[in-house]
Amino acid sequence: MNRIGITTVVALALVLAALDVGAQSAVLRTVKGKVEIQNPDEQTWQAASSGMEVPIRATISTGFGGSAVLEMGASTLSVHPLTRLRIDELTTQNNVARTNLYMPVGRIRAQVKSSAGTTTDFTLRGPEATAAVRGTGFESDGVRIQVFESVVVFSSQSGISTNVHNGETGVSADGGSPKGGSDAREGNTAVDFSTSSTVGSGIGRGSSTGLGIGTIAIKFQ
Amino acid sequence: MKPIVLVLAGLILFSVSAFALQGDFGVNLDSSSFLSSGVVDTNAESEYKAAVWGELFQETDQGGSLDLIAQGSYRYTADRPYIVDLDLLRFSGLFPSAFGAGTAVELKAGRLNFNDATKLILDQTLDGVQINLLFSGFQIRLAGAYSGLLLNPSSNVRISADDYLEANDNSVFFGPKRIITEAFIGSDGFAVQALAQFDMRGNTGGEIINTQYLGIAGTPRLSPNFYLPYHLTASYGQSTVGNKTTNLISALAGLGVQFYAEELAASRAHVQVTYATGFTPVVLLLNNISFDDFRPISPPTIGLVFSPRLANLLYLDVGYSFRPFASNPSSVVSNIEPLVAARVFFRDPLPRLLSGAPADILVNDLNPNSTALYLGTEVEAGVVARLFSDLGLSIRGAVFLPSTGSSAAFMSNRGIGYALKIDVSAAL
Repeated sequence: MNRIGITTVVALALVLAALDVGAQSAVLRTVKGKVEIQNPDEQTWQAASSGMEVPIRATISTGFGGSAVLEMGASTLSVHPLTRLRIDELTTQNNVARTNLYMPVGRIRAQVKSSAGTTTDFTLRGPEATAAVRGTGFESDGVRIQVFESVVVFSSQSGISTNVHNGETGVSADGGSPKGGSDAREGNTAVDFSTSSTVGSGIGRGSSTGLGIGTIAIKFQ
Repeated sequence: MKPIVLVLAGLILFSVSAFALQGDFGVNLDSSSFLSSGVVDTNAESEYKAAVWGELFQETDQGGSLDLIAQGSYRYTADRPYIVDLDLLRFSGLFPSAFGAGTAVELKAGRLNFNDATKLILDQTLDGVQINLLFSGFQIRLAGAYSGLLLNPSSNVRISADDYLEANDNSVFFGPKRIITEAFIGSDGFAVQALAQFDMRGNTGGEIINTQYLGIAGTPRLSPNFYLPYHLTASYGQSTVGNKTTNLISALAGLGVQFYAEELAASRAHVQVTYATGFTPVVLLLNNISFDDFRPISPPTIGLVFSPRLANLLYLDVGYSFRPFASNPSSVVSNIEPLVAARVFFRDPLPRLLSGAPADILVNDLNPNSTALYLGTEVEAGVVARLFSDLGLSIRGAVFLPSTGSSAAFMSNRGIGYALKIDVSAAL
């Protein structure tokens, strides 16, 4: 009898939780140039147009000169040319609007805002870094982030994070601690003339500057 | 015996199958030409270097990595026609989640660069081990290294008089032998660091000097465009000549403001005051302690023409640079950075204030009868460019205007010093 009672309570809780989860929608407000969408579980790409709704797990791809503006609730995303962006999660649960995006390549500019009565949990994962924000504006290519408003928690692949403030830049290129503060600003503004100082940065993770006369890949399988 | 062999072979195959190494290799060519006129206090000379490097890299789970890199070089200078050296031999491993989520351990071993938070005390390639414990918001670094296997021309570990004498002695093959240790804990805004170096020369009859440094440093953010770099280091040392040991005390401090504005053509400006003193009021209260010059482990280069040792010195450094074509899509023109800078040098004012005698500094043509504090001003202008990812160029010229005259810091025969430094760097 007790077991039935516990099961009923758990089931009720799950139903109530499920009822509280609301799926948000992402809508393409502006489309310029070549912009395509690949729906989940589909291999083909279809041309995107203004007003089109983008389903969860769909991937947006912009070509040379292509760009799009995506609206997700109160947040707006400008997708720059040569970008691939997948919408992994777009939900509202317990007054938290949760957005989870994956960008393997490219650049976006985000203006993350909350609707009245809700808080926003916005996460952008890139090849090297993750940006987690709650109401801010930033631009990122998945390795580097520039923040225009408020604060972004910027994490490297290994999960070590640093706060990047309004006006600042964060860089995560080696998997360790992300670089922020004056160090990252120095990298933004100063020109390093020495090619020797970037020895070894051409492979592995991070900025592939392609230095060196050759690249080899050895795979043991 | 056979089962053991089979098990070992299986383990080797299994471990090898888990690896997917990436590799890279290349050649760097660097040329540095230094032209000077008048009296200069720098040791720069023309140098041509060809380096070959190779790297093996493997990504591991959770963003970790294993990395092995080596670089060997051939260097030509007028004094030493051929220097074949191992510039870099570094293994580094990044092991994420070592102390839970959001943490990592970074291990580096071999021949690699070691530096302190200010880069004014230590900034030198050494042979040693460095362990970085990485946490969100701060890190802990522990390091130990040895300098005695560096070639003498490649070593900038210069602390005692013997170290300086050996710097230009072609008969000395290796650099000064010292063990150097470092501990660091902190973040961008505030950090505490401790360094120590121990002289391993043995009993040579010359000066044996051990030094320890304890300090704070940081670059906190003041506003979206301004940062406040600061550092303060107290140094303690023991100088032994024969049977006599003298305790030494000195200090290094710096305070400044840095400005960055990417939107204003990548503008960058700084104002910084740096003060190295060996005469602290503290020593007046203590017995058996002598004041002495501040002695960094690897002396920094301060100016292009006038570069005195960082001891008994107070100087103001201002500079501005920008990239006029920063927003241009062409990287050839967007990576051109003109710069201007000025450095105003003074002797440490404390000795004169406390005893009437001027602080002693080791530079050419100092006026022995003068107690003047102002030494002179160096003005620098130049352009740095990374025309392509594989080609960089730097041209910097400087003029040092010394304070000369009967009561000035320099004798009247010290004229204006000029220097021009041209660096070209290419990667193949």
